[in-house]
Amino acid sequence: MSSFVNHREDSTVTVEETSTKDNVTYYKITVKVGSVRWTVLHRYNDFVELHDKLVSDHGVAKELLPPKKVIRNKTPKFVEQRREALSEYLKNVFNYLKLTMPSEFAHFLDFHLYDIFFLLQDLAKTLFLEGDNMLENEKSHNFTPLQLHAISERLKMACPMTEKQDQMYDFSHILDFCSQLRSLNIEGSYEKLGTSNIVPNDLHFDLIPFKSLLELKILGVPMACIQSVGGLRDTLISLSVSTASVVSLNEFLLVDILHKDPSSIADTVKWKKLSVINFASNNIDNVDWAIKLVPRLQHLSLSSNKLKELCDISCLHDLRVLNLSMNSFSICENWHAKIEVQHICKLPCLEYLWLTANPVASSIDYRVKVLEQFNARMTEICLDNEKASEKELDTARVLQALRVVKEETTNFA
Amino acid sequence: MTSGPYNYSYIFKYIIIGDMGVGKSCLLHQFTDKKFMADCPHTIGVEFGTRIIEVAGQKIKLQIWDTAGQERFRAVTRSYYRGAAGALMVYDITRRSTYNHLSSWLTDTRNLTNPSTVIFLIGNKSDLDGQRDVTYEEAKQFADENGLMFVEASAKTGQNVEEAFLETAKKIYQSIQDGRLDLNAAESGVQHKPASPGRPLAAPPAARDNCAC
Repeated sequence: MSSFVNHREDSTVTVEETSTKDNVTYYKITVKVGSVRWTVLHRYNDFVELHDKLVSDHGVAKELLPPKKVIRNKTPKFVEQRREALSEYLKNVFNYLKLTMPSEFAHFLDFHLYDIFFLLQDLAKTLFLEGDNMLENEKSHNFTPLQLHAISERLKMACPMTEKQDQMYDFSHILDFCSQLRSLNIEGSYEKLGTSNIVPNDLHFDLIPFKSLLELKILGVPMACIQSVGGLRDTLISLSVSTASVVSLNEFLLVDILHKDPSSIADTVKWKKLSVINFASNNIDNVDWAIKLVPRLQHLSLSSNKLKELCDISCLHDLRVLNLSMNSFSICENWHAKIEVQHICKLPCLEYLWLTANPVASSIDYRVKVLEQFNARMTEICLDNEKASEKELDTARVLQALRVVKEETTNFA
Repeated sequence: MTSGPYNYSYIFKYIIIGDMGVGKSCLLHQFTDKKFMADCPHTIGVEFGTRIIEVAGQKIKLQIWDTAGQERFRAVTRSYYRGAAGALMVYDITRRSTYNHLSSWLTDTRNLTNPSTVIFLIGNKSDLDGQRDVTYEEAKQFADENGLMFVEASAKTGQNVEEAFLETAKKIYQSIQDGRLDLNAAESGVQHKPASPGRPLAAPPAARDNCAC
């Protein structure tokens, strides 16, 4: 993302190419701000329109723009000449207006799409006019990584004196909105944004301005992009991070903590209200100890991951729903005695358990073998969205009796 | 639309300034959340908070910028003075150095805000009366000489915190009523609430913000 106010002297505007569509010639403007670049297409008439405004409001010399030509204005030679002339025009105007960068000019060059400062001005205006309405009526609000990055960067900057004095464009309105927002969606992308070389998933941002957030949904944003979760640990109730290639839960839960070792983790990093976690469609292969940082967890979905085993999750006393479908829990000889099954079965509040589409779920008597582990609570468990039938319960009780006998024999021996 | 967070008529912009560690962030926190943060971290750059208050029957939203007191952030914090309707200037009654620096804070404020900006002096940590290093009287005199409003307050107990923010708002509101403060001036720090929901003033809702792009 570009930051023009910091790269004024390192910016250029040129017209390098032309193209024709529906018999209209478009001039392709290339804007470079530091290492960021993008292109904008405008026809000659757009230049005329811009020029009129710049002449009347910003003291640009009237004769600067290459003149109109009515006939024979499509010949390659003429187009090439005009391209050169327009490039020279933009260069001159840009140099002249660089310090003030009036909004008409910034919009003409698409600064409001790619530049921190101009994007935020437009966002501030939108949120000033519509923010309360959105907060009241929207179920949740989408921010792009670009917007979040702009906000984070802007907070570190001295705010520049600008030509735009209207308080409507004040950054306060953005933070005001963020500090009240309850439900936020962020969707990432590896595709370059518009005509620019900006890749949204390369941009870093933090979530510090979101002070009352209850619900957060992140889709396809790598965790390395998030630099701080701010006060979310005290407010967040529901968290969803999907298709983000997350390998372990602590990638988000401890995203801003440098030393992720269990012994140095204090109570302050606990997620005090978080009760719903959905990490579907990631690459998680083990539930790590970070789960202990979420003592109020009621609903945990790890569907479509690469889980083979589960650590001790018996600390999750409030867990009601556990979705482990579409993972890699496999069959093994004495699988029901495997440690994770015991961990699951000892969860006092568990009611819903999903294990479908794991290799284990295709084994013989899979349902009764799982249900049996719950002992007296087997009637209360809803496995793969289905409660145990009478027949299954009968079989499970037999299995259970056999197991008890077997265990006693082993103990005596 | 008779109550709730979206019902207000004006937006006032405030800044909180003063030396490092005088309790600026704690004052803000006490005012917005009615809680005392015991281990408040140093502010990096700026912090932000809002609250809706009522003055003379009018609901007013305060947008409050809390600035870092550390010298190294001065370039950043200075840029937030602009367009502030109220400035809360804070010192710590138990540390004389923070009081001695007030004149430089005041110079900054006068230079960077507009003449109608209401400046309120707060002597924070009034709960620590035993360690007092600055008397009420001398601070009061400083305030009077410079035409500032003044209280001693405690972000810890909450004493006078509410009053400081509210009195500032009252004074600003009074300036509007008297016509001393021009609402349409670019840097007044006061704005009318935009048109009520469902009846937007201008600008179609930007599709960019709503679509998943």
